[in-house]
Amino acid sequence: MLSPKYVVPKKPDLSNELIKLGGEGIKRCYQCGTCTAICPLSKTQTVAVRRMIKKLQLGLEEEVLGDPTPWLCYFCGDCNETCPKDATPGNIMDAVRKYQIINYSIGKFAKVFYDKVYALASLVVMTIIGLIGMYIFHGEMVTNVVDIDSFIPSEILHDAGLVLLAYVIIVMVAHIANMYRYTKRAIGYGKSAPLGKWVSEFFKILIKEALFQSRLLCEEGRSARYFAHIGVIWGFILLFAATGIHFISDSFGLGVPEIVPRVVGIIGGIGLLYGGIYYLIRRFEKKELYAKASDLHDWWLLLLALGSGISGFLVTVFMYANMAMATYIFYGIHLLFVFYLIVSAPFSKLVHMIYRPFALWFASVWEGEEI
Amino acid sequence: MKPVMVVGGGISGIQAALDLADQGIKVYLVEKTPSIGGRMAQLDKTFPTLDCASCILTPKMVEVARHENIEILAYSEVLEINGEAGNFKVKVRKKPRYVDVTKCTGCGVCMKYCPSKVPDEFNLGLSERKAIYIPFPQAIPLKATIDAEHCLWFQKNICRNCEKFCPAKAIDYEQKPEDIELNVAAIIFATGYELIADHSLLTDQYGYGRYANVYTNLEFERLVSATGPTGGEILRRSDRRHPKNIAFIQCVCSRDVRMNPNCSSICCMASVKEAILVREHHPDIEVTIFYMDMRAFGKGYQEFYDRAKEEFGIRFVRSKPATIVEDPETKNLIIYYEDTHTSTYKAEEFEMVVLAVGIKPVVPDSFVPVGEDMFAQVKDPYLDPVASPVPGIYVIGMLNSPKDIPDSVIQGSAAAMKASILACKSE
Repeated sequence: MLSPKYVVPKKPDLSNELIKLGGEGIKRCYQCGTCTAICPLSKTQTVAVRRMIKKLQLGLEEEVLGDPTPWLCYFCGDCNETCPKDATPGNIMDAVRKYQIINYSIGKFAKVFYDKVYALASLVVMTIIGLIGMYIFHGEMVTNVVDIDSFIPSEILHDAGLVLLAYVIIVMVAHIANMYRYTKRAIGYGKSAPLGKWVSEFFKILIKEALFQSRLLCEEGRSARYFAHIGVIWGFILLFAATGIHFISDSFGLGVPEIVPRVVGIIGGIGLLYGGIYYLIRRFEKKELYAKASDLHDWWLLLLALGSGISGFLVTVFMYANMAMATYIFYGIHLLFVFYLIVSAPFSKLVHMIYRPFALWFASVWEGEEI
Repeated sequence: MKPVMVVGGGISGIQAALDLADQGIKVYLVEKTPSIGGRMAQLDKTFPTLDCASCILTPKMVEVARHENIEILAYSEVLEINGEAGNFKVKVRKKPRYVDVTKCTGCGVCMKYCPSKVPDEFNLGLSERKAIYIPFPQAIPLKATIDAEHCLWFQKNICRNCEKFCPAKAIDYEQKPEDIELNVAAIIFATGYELIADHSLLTDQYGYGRYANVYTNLEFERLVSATGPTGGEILRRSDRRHPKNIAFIQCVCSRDVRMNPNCSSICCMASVKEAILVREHHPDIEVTIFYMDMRAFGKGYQEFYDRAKEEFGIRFVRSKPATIVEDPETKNLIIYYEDTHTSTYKAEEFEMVVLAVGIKPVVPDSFVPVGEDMFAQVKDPYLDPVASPVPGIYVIGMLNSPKDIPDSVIQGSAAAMKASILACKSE
């Protein structure tokens, strides 16, 4: 329910802002509730799709920013298909996600990644920084054999990785703090929950939802999309694990054979490529409803993830083919793609891997939603 | 002074024909089906006064039949229109009834002996009629018609029972279509409406046609009518017993951009009326109406809606249900919806569901220009609301735009006045 203190519209222009972010049907909605009732998630939990659109129409900015509903949505498109006003509730949910990403971000910096010009400029800046970094820190380029380690020494790479990791963690803590603040005011006002509940719900969501996406699997006839998404998630997890194993082994002198992180990385890479290519095809086909209108925010994540996956794969291929120069070039490209991905992570669509579990967590603790 | 032609024998066309004829102008009333009366003849009661529809309509029908200036061309269709305002040449085809109307007395003996059973259009398929039939007891003209598509003689060259038993010797299997040409000063089209019953919203989401106990509002009108197939008993299609509760769903295939963005304008009050009739017939049946906006705009409509809530205890839920699922054992229907006043998702079981299905006009498309909204275009929506852009042609009733009975009657009179001007000027 809307809390009484926010009944006064805060931002009359809110719906126009969301329309610019892709929720073009907001003003067409006549509040029939078909979207809420057709939503496959409604059977087990509160998915207040119509109520969210009402909040947008009324300009209740704080209510919108504190509503975890859009993070429950998988954009299956059933609501778009059955909406009698063609208000495209699925697209509106997507637009609210973008709106929340922007408003949770420090200084609303995420706006940069939703504007073609700024996004391109950010790519240029990141490329320059990356290239300068590689130029300064690169070692000897041995051309008779492939020797990545002397091209860019792994200690330097590990240090850079740690710096980036620290950056992501610090920024994400600030973003999640914003999300918590808004969500607490909107749905958790005056509510408290025992620590035990916070902990138990956290693990439930981490395992069932974040790692295995159980709810996406529950949707009939969408198993192809489920496996593609699982491929991407586990692709990222395994690639991160591969880097981690390498790093830990190196720093503590454990002497884990080189082949272990490599195999883990290759499996992860296959998963990432499989899912990435699946989504790429869907987004070009424009048949599935979620893939009908892809904007910068969708392409950004997809192309960067695919770019890092493909370049990483090529590095492996060239390395085994003993083609030194090609390996170094693609290694450089690969590092650049990973650099883009990580730097933009707290602001791009990739951040949904953090926001979604947190939104589910807050909803389950404060609203008692069954996960 | 030339005659005027009225096409369509529903309440709007009847009013136009009577008003013209009373001024001394000759009228040809062309009707596609075997009898005049139109949709209103199928209705049980009228809103907001709950008057019996037939009791208002049939005296008018009789007046038409007995009027010296009106010639009814029932079971006929307009084929061709030539000429201009004041001087139209209209070719009309009189379809063969295979019954000599000068001899037929409408006694109905033939219907008793005819062996071929056909879904009854008048009762929207809720009952059966014979291949030789009179659509309803108050039909005008009260003459039998053979439906050649289902007649054993025409299909298989057997039977001829009606000929054997007809006391008036009126059966004539040799009749052929007859084309006549009429010279008229003006033409009034009042071709009425039909339901939009073929969209996936109806068939997939709401299961109409798949689930026995899902009805359209017109079907329900026949079901609740004293002259209907059950004599006014509300019995479920699946097991012929009274339902414990009934749900009405508004705005089905109307106000929906996927097939029909228009508001049909009659369903709010029609459903409120049908709900009240349910409570009057069986006070123990609980009635729920799922609506989005209750459009009670006419004289006495708001009061009617208030009575439904306060006097008859009808429950109104602001929601458009998403899906209906049938319980295969009980044939009850589970409606999935969000109550938008409380923002709660619900699955509720009902024993019968009535869909307020949207309407589309029956358009004589080669003769009148049609607008983007599917309805006939008018010359000027404010100052000439019944005139088609084609001079001398008038469009009234549901063909013109969605409207209720009082508005259809008003347009009938308005078009009669306009047409009479042309008729008086003609030689």
